[in-house]
Amino acid sequence: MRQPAIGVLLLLVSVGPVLPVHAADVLGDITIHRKGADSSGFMPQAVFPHWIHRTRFKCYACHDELFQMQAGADDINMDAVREGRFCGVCHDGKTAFAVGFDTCERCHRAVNSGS
Amino acid sequence: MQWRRCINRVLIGTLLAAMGLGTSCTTETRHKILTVVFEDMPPPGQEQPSKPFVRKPRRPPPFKPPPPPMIRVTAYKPAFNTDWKAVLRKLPKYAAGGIDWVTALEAGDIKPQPGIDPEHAQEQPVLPLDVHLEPPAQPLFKVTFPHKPHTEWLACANCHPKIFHMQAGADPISMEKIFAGEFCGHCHGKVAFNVTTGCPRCHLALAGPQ
Repeated sequence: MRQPAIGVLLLLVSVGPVLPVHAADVLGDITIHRKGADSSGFMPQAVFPHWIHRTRFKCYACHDELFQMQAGADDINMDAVREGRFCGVCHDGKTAFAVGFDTCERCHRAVNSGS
Repeated sequence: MQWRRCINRVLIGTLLAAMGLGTSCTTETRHKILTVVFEDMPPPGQEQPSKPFVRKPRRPPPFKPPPPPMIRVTAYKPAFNTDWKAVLRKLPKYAAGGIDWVTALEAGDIKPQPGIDPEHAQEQPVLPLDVHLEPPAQPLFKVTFPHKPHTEWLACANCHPKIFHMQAGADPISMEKIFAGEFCGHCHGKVAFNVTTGCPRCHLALAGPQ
């Protein structure tokens, strides 16, 4: 009788830290839907948390110069971001954290909300 | 015996010249003559040479390329609080949930910058203009649109003239269209407060007498 209980406990302990931990779903979070075929699914889609950015910048800091006020209207991709366009204007390691292989999961989070 | 006599004569000559230098010349002349051979000899009246004598190098020193400039990699250290869960907890909320951004800005909880470059960013004007919109024959559903909290966040060109005409009443605004994402629905329900915040938030008369 005790064996399955211990097994379940061990399973929870081992799986627990692997489960995605993400910020709360806040109004304004935008999932940047991947365009084109993507069957691999190895990388979650990027989520833009509007509210984090609103604590530091007014709307007109980014709109409409960097981003159109319509989700999906801009062709945002990692090449453009690395070239310093769109998110890359700030996310260069100076104004905000840089785009790199150590920061993928800061945007590519397993949460689908707000859009 | 010829060479020995020759050496003798040279020796005697040198001795006589040395004696002559020692007795007849002035000290300045002697110094001048002697420094031809003994370069680091101190001038008369000085014990030690004034400075060490440095010979010019016979050939230029070998060219040494300068070291490459050092690249200092500084770790990204933000000057703001990045504990976003704590930041979210502190932000003022509506009773129905959702962040009350206008109160957060007025209370000074947040200081959003007008631009990305803090030096060249320009604060946009805040317009204290209330626009009253009343649906025909429905005074209860009158809406008071306050420009002030909107212009604290947005520039004029964000809404005018793409989303709203610059003439009050010129746009056929309806709740149906707002829910479909037109007019106020461009932001409200997406990044600004949604319908759960309550109708009187815009339809002031629905709140009843205060």
